[in-house]
Amino acid sequence: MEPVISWTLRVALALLFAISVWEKVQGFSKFKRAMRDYELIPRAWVSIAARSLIVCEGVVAIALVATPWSGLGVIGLLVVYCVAIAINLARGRTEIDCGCGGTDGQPLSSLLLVRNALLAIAALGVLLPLRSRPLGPHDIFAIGAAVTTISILWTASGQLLKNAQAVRSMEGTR
Amino acid sequence: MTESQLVSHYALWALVVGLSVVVLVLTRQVGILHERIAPAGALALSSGPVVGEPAPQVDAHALDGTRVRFGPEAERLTSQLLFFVSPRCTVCRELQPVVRSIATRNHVRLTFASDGDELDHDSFIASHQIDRGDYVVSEELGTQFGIAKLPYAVLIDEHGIVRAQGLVNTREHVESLFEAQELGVGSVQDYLQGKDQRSDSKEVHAHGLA
Repeated sequence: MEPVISWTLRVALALLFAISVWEKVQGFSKFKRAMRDYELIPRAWVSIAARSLIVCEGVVAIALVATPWSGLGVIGLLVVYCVAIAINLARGRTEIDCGCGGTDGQPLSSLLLVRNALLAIAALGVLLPLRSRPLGPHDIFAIGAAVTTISILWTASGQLLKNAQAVRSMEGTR
Repeated sequence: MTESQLVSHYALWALVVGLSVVVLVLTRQVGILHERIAPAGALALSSGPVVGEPAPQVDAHALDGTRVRFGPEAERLTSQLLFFVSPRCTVCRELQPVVRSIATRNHVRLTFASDGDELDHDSFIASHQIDRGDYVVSEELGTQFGIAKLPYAVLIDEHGIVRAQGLVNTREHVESLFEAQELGVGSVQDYLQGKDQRSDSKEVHAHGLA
């Protein structure tokens, strides 16, 4: 794997998980409520499970910068999320908040599964063996610019999901 | 890398980042547009009669001298649209033909209501060809209906019950009154609030089930 691409994926994923941890800590009660609504674990365990999930995400975020093996941690977390979402989609409970962070909740949808699958592919890329080559200043610039672009497009895709939801709710009123 | 490759490398990245910013701004603007085009309707003000309750009992005189009565005891065969205007209000003047055509289309009797100096009203009526019998000048009417802003419209059904009311500035606002009557809600605000509550109760229901 070309180191510029590998590093871009690692830094972008680390940033994503760091922001996710920050948002979950900020809205901890909301995150706990979302986890409870998933109804996959006993209510008494929700608080501990929520805390450990945040710690896991934090560890993965830091590990991503340190070692490529952290890609396994990312895939592990994403598999847990996908299973939880898929079970509730199968139950037909699309109205619950996905608990993915952000100011206003996002309802469950199969689009979230697609999004997580894309993230898992990125994490697989991190795991591929690196071609050893020294990184020059131009490479560092390219990594920075690519991470910036990915962050902006990620935010835009979140907004698009929200817009799609607005369109659906508008069709409901007409 | 050669110098030309370097230049193109940096220039292309700058363009890519710039483009993605444009995409982000566009998606946000689409989001804002969705919020703006949520159903628009007449704004109901808090004072005055409540929707679903009888209109206040008021006796007034039209400009041609005929007695016009409002309230549940007034005898009438059709619904009535009470349109509060002032000859000095520009929006009222512009909206007047629109309100007239909507009233005709919905088979309701349109009554204009105003107060203040009589002279103003004469030129207003003349320029808009309003029947003198459909124009009531009465301060009591405005007070009883709690009119604070113009143009304001109140839809009263054939039993003298207020069905919808609100501040109207556009054709959509006037039509929303009839829409509200048809749906059995007091105003678009009530409708949107009811929609929120319905989705809330759906959520509660879902929790209760599991």
